[in-house]
Amino acid sequence: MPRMFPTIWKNLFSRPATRRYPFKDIREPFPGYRGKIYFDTNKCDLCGDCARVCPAEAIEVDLENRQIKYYPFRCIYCATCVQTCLQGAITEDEHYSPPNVEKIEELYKIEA
Amino acid sequence: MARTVIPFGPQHPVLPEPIHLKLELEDEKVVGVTPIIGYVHRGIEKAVELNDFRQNVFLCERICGICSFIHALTYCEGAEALTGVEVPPRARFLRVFWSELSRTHSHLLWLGLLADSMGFESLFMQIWRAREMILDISEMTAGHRIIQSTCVIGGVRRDIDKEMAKEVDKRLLAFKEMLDSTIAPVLLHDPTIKRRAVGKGMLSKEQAELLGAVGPTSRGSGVAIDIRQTGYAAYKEVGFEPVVETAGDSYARTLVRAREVYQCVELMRKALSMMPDGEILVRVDGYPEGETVARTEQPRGELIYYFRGNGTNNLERLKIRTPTFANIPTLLVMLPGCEMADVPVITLSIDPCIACTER
Amino acid sequence: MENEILIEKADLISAVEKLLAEKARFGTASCVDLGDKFEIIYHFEPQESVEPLKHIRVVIDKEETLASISSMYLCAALIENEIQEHFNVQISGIALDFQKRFLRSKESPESALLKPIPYAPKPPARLPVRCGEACPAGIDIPRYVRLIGEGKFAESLAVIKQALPFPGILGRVCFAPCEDNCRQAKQEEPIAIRMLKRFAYDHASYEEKATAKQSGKRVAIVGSGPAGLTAAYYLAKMGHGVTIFESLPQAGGMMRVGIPSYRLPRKILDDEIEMVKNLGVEIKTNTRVESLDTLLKDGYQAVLVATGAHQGIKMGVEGEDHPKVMECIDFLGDVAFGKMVKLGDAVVVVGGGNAAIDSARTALRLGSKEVTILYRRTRAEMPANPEEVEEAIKEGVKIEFLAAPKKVFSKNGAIALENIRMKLGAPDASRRRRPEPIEGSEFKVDVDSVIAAIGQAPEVPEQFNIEIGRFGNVIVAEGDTSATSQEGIFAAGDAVTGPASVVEAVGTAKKAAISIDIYLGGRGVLPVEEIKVKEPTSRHTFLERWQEKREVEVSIVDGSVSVSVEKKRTEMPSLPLEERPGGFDEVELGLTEEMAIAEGQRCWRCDLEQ
Repeated sequence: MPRMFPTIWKNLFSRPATRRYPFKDIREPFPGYRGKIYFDTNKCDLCGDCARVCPAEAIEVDLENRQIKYYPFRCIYCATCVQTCLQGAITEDEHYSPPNVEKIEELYKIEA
Repeated sequence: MARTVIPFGPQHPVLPEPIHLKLELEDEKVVGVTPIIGYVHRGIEKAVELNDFRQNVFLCERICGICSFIHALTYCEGAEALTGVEVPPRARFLRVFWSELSRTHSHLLWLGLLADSMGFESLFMQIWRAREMILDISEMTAGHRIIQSTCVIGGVRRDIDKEMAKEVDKRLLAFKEMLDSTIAPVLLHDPTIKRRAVGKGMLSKEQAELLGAVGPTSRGSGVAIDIRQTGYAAYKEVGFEPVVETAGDSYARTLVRAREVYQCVELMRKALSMMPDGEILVRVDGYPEGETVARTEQPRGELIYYFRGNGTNNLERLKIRTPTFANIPTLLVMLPGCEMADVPVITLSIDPCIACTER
Repeated sequence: MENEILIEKADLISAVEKLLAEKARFGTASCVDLGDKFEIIYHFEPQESVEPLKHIRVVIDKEETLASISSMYLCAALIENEIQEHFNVQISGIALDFQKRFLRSKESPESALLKPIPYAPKPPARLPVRCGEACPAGIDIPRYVRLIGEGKFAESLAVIKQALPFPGILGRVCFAPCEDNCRQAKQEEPIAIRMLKRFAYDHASYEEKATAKQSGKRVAIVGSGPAGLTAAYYLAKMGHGVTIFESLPQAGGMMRVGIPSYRLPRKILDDEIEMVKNLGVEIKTNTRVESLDTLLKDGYQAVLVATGAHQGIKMGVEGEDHPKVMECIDFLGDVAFGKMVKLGDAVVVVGGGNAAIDSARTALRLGSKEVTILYRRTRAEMPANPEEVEEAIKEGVKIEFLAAPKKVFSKNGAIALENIRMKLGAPDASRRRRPEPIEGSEFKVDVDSVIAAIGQAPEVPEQFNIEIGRFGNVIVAEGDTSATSQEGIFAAGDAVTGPASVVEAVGTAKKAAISIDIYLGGRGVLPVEEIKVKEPTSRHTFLERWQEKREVEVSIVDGSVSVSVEKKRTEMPSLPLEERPGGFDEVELGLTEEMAIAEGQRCWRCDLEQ
């Protein structure tokens, strides 16, 4: 107990170490943070590799209707699809995704 | 004497994960204990058979949050042995780096919980503040604070270049300084902690060997066994000696873990400085065929994975034996004879990671 | 595994006691469901942890009871409880009994880890690829491209030979629909598949395997073009006796008379025809077939009509029967057979297809100074290969777009053309805009020769007695069986599809060969050699695409980084322009080994799963 005193005294007069998330003092994530993914509809050619590789089955590629469905709440943010896509059509968002009150799905339509 | 049955857990402020211990008490002394587990069972061994063997790395990572990298590492070691892939040297050193990072994180988390279990909240907060520094390093190098997700079959996915290595080194030194100045004096010399941990939960050397205890639980009783001595990943090049204490009580296990934190920091700095140049990922050809066993050292002890493959995309069987699974029988020996107020500290001293145990 | 002993159920206790005496520690026990039996493997750790594990393996039937080892090792009780509950294995005498509540509750389903529900191991498979589906001959393209990338040229040639007989010819003249469908074409850098096919033929050799047992049947093939030769190749390999009847002095069909030798050297063509002859095929040149019924009476059980499309379509302008107006196929045929053709200096070629470009470039090589192509639409609608058009312009051919001849008339013993300008109107049946003449825009040109190259059609004699289609004079043949309206007569190639390409003729001829084999009582299976070679089973790692050797384009959108394209497509080295006129040397020189290996490495192998 007495050995804690110097630390306690120092902390009494310094700034709080906690951040008031999400209102103040937010630190941006470091570069390379793994976040939600976005599809680039100009580059995608509907090969379906990302859907085959996804461990969580969070991507569905529909070749006849030319659309891609992405489930951000099934996604485990492993970034395997980003690395697998040969056309370079998938990019990662390097920001922390806040909690959501409903499960959303994202639909991308690919032009011919 | 009349016996009372009191449940310890499954929800308890001290426990990081749910385990149900049925304690039989006579007055305040514990005379019998029955562990009941099954609250976090997710059927991972079954799920592994349904996935492609390359995607299983992501599943195995998420068996446990604090030892996630080492689960992935063990899986990759076994799969690489079955498919005949040779990992390049730089990748092996990077795997050592992230393994030790996981270990530091886990030990710091446990030290904080130990302080919390004794009621020493301010020490708990300071230890977790030091843990934040480790999590920042993890986010900087691997992309996420807790689940690193960098180990894949054939190597690692991310590289640490020279600038990042310098930055990491700086942060590790700042972390070590914080340990030395604020945490170590309290943890190692405070009389309250000693009164609550010394002499509680005795485990003799013979009992530890017979019951198959692993990790700091057994190293605190004088059994000098650490799987890192077998030299998987790059431990042979980096060099390693296990940390052993002989007292056999909870305080000895605390000391083992505290000294291991310092050892981990040294290993991390050594691995980063000794890393050779080269590629970090190799292509995987072929499909897993045959049987093998892979062993690594988790923060809690020895992890055994048994693989069986039959030449197709899916593994036929994956059996996981986690260290806490082997440490739970020691509770049957440590708990009877102690007082009820010591039960949290003793249970916590084996570092129960029930999510690992129940897969 | 090493350090393992396989014992009977009864010896379990004694084996474990032995290990206990050696002070081994208990690791774990793994249970595997083998369908009708269980296999339980006990893992023990020796005294020193750095030594490898020791294993005891026991195989029991599903109803047998196993003895528990928890009397010796208490910690084994936990894992035995788990095996008992999850697999329904009977184990007797466990020291700690959790009453079936270990890792389970009363509501858990039975037998969690038993197979086979829903264990369904997927054997490694290959995915359908866009380039392979576009090829009319069905070549396994990713495999042969990557084999070149690995340096295995002979195996690569064998893969190509699985699907077609003439890699040497197609490596030079194919219009490569595969390259348009290559996934890298989206980034404008498709793999140079045709150049690699030529490289494989030039740098490796292939030995034909022995043909099947002779069936005693004989097949007659009319026409020795790509369709006829392909069908002859496969039918001979399936064991039938084949005779080809060719009306021209030399075999080869359109490959000889339609494609000039600066695109396809005569030696390559002769070598390929020699290869077909070595299989036992007899080619009778200078023999015109008048009637198919005589062939059937002469002892041939089936006949394949592959006469191609050599009849030029008339331009439909007044005066076109002037002696100095030539049909392009006749012109190219005369050049191919070495006849002297005097064109003069100013030559006009009418048309926009490959035949027109070939005629124009041949005319330049024969010495004409001014060669002009007249095409009635614009460059975007030209059906010729874009690379061919490029080369023609580089060599000095002038192209007049949106112009067509209106009248041909004699002028001082020479010939003059009256042309008219066109403009594009509404689209017609071929979805190209129809050209309409602009009134009053006629202009006259003095020329020395005119070559008409606006299209070809098959020419099928009446006596053949087979049904002819209404459009384009083609033979009517069933799509799957290639059978015509008469029994025993089949048709393939340009005669059925109208003027198309060599590879499409190969595709229809393969179907016809299968059909003829079935008709003659065979199984209808083309003889394909299986190739065993060690090749990769997964794609490049993503890191290999990021290496410094490859040119990488990086784009940054909203702060996140995405990487797009890899290396650029290889350029084919070609004969310098100064050396081209006056000679018919091959223009494309062929890739070097380094270029071919680099190009082969670029392939993404879309057929592999990961």
